[in-house]
Amino acid sequence: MSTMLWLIPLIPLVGAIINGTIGSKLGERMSSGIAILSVLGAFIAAITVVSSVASSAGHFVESDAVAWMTVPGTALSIPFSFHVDPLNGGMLFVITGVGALIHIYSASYMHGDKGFSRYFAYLNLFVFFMAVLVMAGNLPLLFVGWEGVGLASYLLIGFWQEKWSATQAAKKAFVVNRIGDVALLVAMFMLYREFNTLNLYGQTGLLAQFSESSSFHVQTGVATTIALLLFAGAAGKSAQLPLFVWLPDAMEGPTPVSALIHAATMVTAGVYLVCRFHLLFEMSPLAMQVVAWTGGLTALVAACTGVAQWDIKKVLAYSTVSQLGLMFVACGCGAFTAAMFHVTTHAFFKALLFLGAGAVIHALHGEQDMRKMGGLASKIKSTHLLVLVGTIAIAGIPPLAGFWSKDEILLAAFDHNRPVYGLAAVTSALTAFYMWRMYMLTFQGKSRVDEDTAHHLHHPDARIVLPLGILGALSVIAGFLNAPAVGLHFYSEWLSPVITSPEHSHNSGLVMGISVVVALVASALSVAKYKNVSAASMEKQSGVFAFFAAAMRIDDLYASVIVKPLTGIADWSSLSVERNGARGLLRLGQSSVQGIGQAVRRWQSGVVGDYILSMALALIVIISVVLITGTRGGN
Amino acid sequence: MSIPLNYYIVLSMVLFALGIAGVTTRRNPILIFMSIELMLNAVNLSLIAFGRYLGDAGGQMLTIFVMAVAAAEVSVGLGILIAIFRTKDNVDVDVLNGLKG
Repeated sequence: MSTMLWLIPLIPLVGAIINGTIGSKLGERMSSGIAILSVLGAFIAAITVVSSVASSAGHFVESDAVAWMTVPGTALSIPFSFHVDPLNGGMLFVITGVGALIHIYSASYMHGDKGFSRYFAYLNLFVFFMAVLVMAGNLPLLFVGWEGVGLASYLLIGFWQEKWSATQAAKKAFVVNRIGDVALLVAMFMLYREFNTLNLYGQTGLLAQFSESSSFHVQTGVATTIALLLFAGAAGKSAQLPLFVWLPDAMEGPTPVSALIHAATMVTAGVYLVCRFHLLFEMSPLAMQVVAWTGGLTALVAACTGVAQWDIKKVLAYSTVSQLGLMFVACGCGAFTAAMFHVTTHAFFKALLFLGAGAVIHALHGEQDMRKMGGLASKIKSTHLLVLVGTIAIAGIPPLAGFWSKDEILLAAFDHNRPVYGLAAVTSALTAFYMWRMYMLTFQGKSRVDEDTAHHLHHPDARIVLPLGILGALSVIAGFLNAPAVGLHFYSEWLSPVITSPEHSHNSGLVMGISVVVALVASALSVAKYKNVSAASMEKQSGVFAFFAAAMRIDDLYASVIVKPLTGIADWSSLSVERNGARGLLRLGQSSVQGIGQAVRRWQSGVVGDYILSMALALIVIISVVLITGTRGGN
Repeated sequence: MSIPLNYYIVLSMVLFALGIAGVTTRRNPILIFMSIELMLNAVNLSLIAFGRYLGDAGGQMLTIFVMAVAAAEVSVGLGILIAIFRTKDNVDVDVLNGLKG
């Protein structure tokens, strides 16, 4: 079984290497075929591994530990080892399963792009690093995956390198992520200082040490600090306040990338990290409060912003930020099962929506502005139907997946943190509102598509419809993996070896009722408002609307508070330190050498006689010196 | 009776000085060559004189070496000279100052 564990990351890595080196010579069929098969291979390996997790006694499978780094004279020994238990097993399913679907979709979506094989090399590389991240048996290895997915994300956001905005967005994502990564590194240092190990699992691993409260010697203050640092890392990767600004810009990448990396998998790595360390977070009430409030505020801010976007992908991007916020609300309220469950269902319906949006964009030859869409329901029927499913799922209308997972979160918040519950409930209403707004603007009403484009609609082929269909089916049924209201507990039982779910709450009926009413009312309002929207009404942007449209001006805030002072310092130092200081010093060296050269070059007259004269004179000088001092060398 | 060593040395020095003077002042490469030969022969003379004085045959041997090398040097030098003349149409050493710094 341990070889199977190695195969999960290795197969996509081999795919990435093949596509990265000789991919451009293989042609599109071979190139995408290799990429798809490698992820499917990883998916099959993941199924085998997860099924053996289910049957094994300790509910985990572990690979051999291959020596990697050791520091002589200390306890620090970092092996290369993988570990799969129910928590990351579920993640592996999503990564390889949804990943494979998105690979299939990409083969059609990226058809004809000149970087076709490069795209698949990056995408496979991403799957490799993501598998390393979730399967890592220790924190440094997790960090390798963590940085690796950041790299893959950077490469894919900036995939269309000739687009200035894409390269800028890629840089922004990379730099903003670094802030969180530093916090994660510091958290690792502190964990090593406190626990003398960085291994996660096993008798002496961090998780075992967290759970043995008797031997636990970390003061609450230290636990809080470490937990907050870990959360800062998670906030960077999972786009939470105040670090969420990179995710909307990341939409510059190809749409399947947005679906895979910036909706389904990579951005949930932060949620995974918090859930992995839930024992540590539970020790610190303060850290839990911070997580819950950050999540709640992020969810609300992003949902408000989502209401005012015109770009179809931006709506989904802010929606992702908002849903990630809800996951952190669940973590902060102690409902880690609910958080992981929402990660899973969200991966299905958000990937569905992104791929659906991609199909729309593809059909309209790259048009992303919803003001130039409308009335597409009858033209691209299959896409329309599946996006409708996704919309109902995310809006939280029962019995689709989004309702069940979101309801668990709202219930946990209701029981543990009422103010945050308020934020989450408003977020849910806004979610339903902006998703129906997106749906209505895109598919219903009068067509606002250009004449020319309308006549040449790009109809999706099977490779686009098949992944959409599977994701649509999953969005419908995945909720029943964990629907306590109808007596289904598969998911919480599956996670129970790792995370104990809280007792069933008696508020369940009340919260569920509120959720259903809120979702339906918000949906109805949205449908009514955008049913017959006129083109003229879309042009005017009132004050609040414009404020929301610009993401509450958080980017501008960063620009004036951080970027401007920094560029000021840079300008100042380039003028004073660089131009007058360092360059002056260099000039001095340069001019003195030049001066000597100028003086000596006159000697080099080019006339043979002069040379011989100097030779003879020098000889006379040397001989005279020898004769006068009487030295003959040697003694 | 034999001629004293000093005479040879003085003659050799005079010849050598004449050679240097010729090399530095002449502009025609043929004359420069002749001056170089003069210097070499000055050295040869002193070598033979010292060899005779010390009763060592090495001085004569070295002289033969010098003559052989000088012959080779002249042939190479003249070859170069002809090549320069063919490309530049001129062999005046003051004009050939391509190495001027």
